Amino acid sequence: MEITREEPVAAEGRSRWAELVHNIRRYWFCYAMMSGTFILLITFAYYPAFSAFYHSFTNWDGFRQPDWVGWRNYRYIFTSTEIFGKGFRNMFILAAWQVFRSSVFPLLGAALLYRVKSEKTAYFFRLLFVLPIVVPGLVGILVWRQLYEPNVGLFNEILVGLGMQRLAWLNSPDTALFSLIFMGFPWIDGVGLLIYLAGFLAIPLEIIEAAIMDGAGTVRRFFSMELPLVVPQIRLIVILNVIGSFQDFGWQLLVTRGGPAAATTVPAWSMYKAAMNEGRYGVASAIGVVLFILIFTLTLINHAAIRTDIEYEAH
Amino acid sequence: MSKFSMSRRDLLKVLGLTAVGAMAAACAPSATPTAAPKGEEPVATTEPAQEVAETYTILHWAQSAEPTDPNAELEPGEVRKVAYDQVADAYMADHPNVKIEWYRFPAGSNVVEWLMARMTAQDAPDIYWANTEDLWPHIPKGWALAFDPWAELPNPYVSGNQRWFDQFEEVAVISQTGPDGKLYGVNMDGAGVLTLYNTDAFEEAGITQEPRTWGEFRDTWAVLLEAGYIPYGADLSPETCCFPHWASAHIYNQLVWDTIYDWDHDGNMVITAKDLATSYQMGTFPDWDAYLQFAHLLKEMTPYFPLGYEGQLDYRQLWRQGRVVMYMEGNWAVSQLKNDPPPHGFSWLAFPVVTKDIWPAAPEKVTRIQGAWGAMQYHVPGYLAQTNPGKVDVVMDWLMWSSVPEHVGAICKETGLVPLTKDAEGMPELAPFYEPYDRAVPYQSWQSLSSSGLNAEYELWQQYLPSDMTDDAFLALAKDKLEAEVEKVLEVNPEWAVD
Repeated sequence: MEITREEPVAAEGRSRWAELVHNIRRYWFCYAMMSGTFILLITFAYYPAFSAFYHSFTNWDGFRQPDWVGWRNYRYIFTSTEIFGKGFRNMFILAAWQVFRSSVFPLLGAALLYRVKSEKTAYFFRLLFVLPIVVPGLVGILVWRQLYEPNVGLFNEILVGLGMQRLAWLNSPDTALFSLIFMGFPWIDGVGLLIYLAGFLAIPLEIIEAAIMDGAGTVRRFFSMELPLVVPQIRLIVILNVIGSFQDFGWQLLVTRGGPAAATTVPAWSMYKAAMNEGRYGVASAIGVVLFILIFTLTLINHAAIRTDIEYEAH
Repeated sequence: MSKFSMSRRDLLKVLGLTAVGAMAAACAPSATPTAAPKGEEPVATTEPAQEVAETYTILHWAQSAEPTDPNAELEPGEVRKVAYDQVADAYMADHPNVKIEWYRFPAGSNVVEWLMARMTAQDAPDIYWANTEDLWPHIPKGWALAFDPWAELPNPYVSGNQRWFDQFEEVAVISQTGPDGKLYGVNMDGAGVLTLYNTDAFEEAGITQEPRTWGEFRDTWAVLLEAGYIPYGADLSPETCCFPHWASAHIYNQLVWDTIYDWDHDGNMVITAKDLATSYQMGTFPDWDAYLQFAHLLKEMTPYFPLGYEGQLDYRQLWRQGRVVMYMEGNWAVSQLKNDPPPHGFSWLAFPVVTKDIWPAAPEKVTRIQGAWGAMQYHVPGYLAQTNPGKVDVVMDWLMWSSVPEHVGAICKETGLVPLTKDAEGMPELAPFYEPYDRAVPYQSWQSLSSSGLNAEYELWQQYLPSDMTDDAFLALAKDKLEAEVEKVLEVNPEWAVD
């Protein structure tokens, strides 16, 4: 599909604004149909976001009138050991891991599935990987918590069976972050797998056949052809996971509450605590703004850094 | 159909205008509720609810006093609770214009976070439960209605009663006294905490004498450990009720026995968040020497805790399995223990008495958490007086009916709560909780400052107890954390700042 950008031309000598009004009147039904979405977007997405920018410069308890405090909340964030020290460190570690695991493991799974010749077998394995999506994530988290239980959990029973010492896993500041990282093994996310698989399946068969005729083996085909051709999918997964992992505090909320000893805290969890536990909406807004700037910057870098010259264009 | 197109510049203009508009909207006065204006006190009426023509539905979160949901499937050993339903049915029969509905608290939610959301949205139940420590920092925001005008009225359902709040034990009343001296709830029952222990494990380990002092407990724990048990069930997670702050209440109160009421600036015998913030600013809270000694005593206990005590553990289940021998438990467990007894014998102990060889100023007396942290302490959202003033009188009338001693007794007998309503009788199995003690603790922990303070103190223990941190490092860390928590409280309550 070729996208062209038309230069605005005022018809019948009308100014651009008059043209806009004219078009709105002419296609009023289309605008009316879209207005609901726009109103909801502005109310529930853009207004709160801009409101957070303003409130990040205030001392606001969510109830009374906010007091303007300038940069105080930002100073607090950047001098807080919990938020700026441990929090950002943990966030980057967890985000790096999240990006790695969501890019690599589903990619390998999809590459294997792509090579399965029997359609029935491929369908069976696809179903097997995708089925866990329908199980609520909370269930998985609770199961993992039980596996990690230090006194009666399965992992420690295995360690004892192997003649090793028990570990406190999630309950020790030394091992909690590692334990969080290990959760979800074998780390093949169903949605990521489907996205990659769709990318592989979109590769024209002629290209693959030509490569086979030229004598390219499986490994060569994967690294020289298939992998470069799914770079757009990798970029999508990376962006979604960078954004998701910076915003996410599900594990902290449900499993560790950021502890023990703030070993697993992340800024998003501090934001939630500041708002919902301490009633410090100004501080929470400031953390939100910092995260927004960070995510926005990384997304831009991501766009610029992960490029591909081999993209298909549909004509 | 002609195409509509927009130049990049126009698009930027529209986006810019939208941004400016949103910014301007953000600068507009907040649409969220503000605190009740001072000077506009609600006025109580003695008008009986049945004479009110309007129909009211009262949504009541009765915490563990609530009747069992008729649609709920019972756990093994669980008994369907009906007492409060019967109290409500009798009230509704007498007051056809009033309907009582039970609010089912979302399982697994955090009370403070739930309150924050409900108060912001102004959709809290008409009557809700909360420990007062969690309320005090938020009183200026109008989270709770002052009960004072109704507290002075006679309860029409109790013959001879001249003043409603005279029905309750003193501790029940003073515990509801907020930072401004007003009463922010009614408290019909209380809570007691003792040490629950496995008598079979004592017997198997050859322990014949019940320990009383700290030294005797320490010896007992060592014997139990030697016998292969986990002597003491505890963890440092804010999600598990409640070892660290109960330990603080029991131990720290013994160490500052003679000076603790120095922090009670308003003289109401309750240490509120405002008292602590004030004392901290004056340099009198906490007594750091005593606090360090408390830390040492806690550290002495850690070899007897289960593995992974730094995080969340289900040590109550480990006790039921016979692996953990003792842990601190509240009276509310009595009902469950009665209906679903563990496969071993059990009994109750008071918390260790600190002796003078450990702390020369120790009074060598039994202290106990025995106070107004029960399930039947109810509050009314402050905004109700503005949004539906007529309903407030009906709500108070229902609470007066609830607090009739026979009603409180019936509910307490069913649920294992300790009545703090005079002439109300609780469950006979609660006898250990009625035994004499020297003082009910007036201060628990940094929780008395704020819920965030509780988390900070738990985090302090998570850092200190499993580590080889020096005393100086511990004190420096504790001082930093406490200062940060006091600053947070003062940020939300700037009027508490001491000049």
